[in-house]
Amino acid sequence: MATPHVSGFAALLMQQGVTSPAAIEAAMKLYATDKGAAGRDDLFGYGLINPRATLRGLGLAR
Amino acid sequence: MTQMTQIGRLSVLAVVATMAMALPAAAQTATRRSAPSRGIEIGGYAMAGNFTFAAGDSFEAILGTHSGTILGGGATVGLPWGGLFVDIGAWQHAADGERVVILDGQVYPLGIPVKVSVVPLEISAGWRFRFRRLPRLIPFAAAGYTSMGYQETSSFAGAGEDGDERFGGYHLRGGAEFKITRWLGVAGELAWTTVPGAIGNGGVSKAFNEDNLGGTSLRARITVGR
Repeated sequence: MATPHVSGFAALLMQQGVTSPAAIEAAMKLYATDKGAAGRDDLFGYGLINPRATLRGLGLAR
Repeated sequence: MTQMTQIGRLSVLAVVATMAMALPAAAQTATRRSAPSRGIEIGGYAMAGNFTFAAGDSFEAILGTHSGTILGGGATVGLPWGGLFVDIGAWQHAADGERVVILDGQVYPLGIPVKVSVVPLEISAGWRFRFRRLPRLIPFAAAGYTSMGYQETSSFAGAGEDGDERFGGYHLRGGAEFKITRWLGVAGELAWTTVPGAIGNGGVSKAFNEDNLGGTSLRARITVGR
């Protein structure tokens, strides 16, 4: 069931103008909620995708 | 007739003598008026200018520009020791932008409004240089402490996603004031402010590795008072 969620998340990113597949992948990895061992691991990969954190993005100092 | 002539001559002499005695007194008054006051001089000012942030990439990413208009005011007290003065002033810059995501160095706006506001309080001490040949033009230089207020608010903010803090820093200022009248003047000044460590722990400032909330500003003032 991961594929529909990830596809929907990718669509949301594309809607925000992030259209490059590499950038979409980078965004998912960057803001994923880490699981298991710190960083990427073979069991959880980069962790759980986090659409809210990704689509909320960054402020100036927050 | 001879007596009348003598009386007339004496009268003229008396008038001339009186005028001769009165002239130095008048000259003294004029000298006193033109000499710089050695008492405490109090004045106020309104200020407008442009501030260019040192953290240029961060402000550019969020606000679309790394500089903006500042408006403020303050008070100056000239002390009775040469050209020494102290100054306390504050200004504000507020701007609207939007939150972004940075991927591979490219900035993607996300359409979430964010409001950034900086309100520094500046306490300075400096020196006014007075020249006899140019009594209306008064160059000055000052340095002091800056208490920089920083506020960031955005829509749909969760816990810890908005901030309202104050940071310490320093500034240097220099410029010149032109006295239009005794009580009214205009001034221009260049100021450099540094507030290290104020940002850079999160947001785009962390991504761009920028931690200084200071910058350079060009300011124009209207001054009232001596």
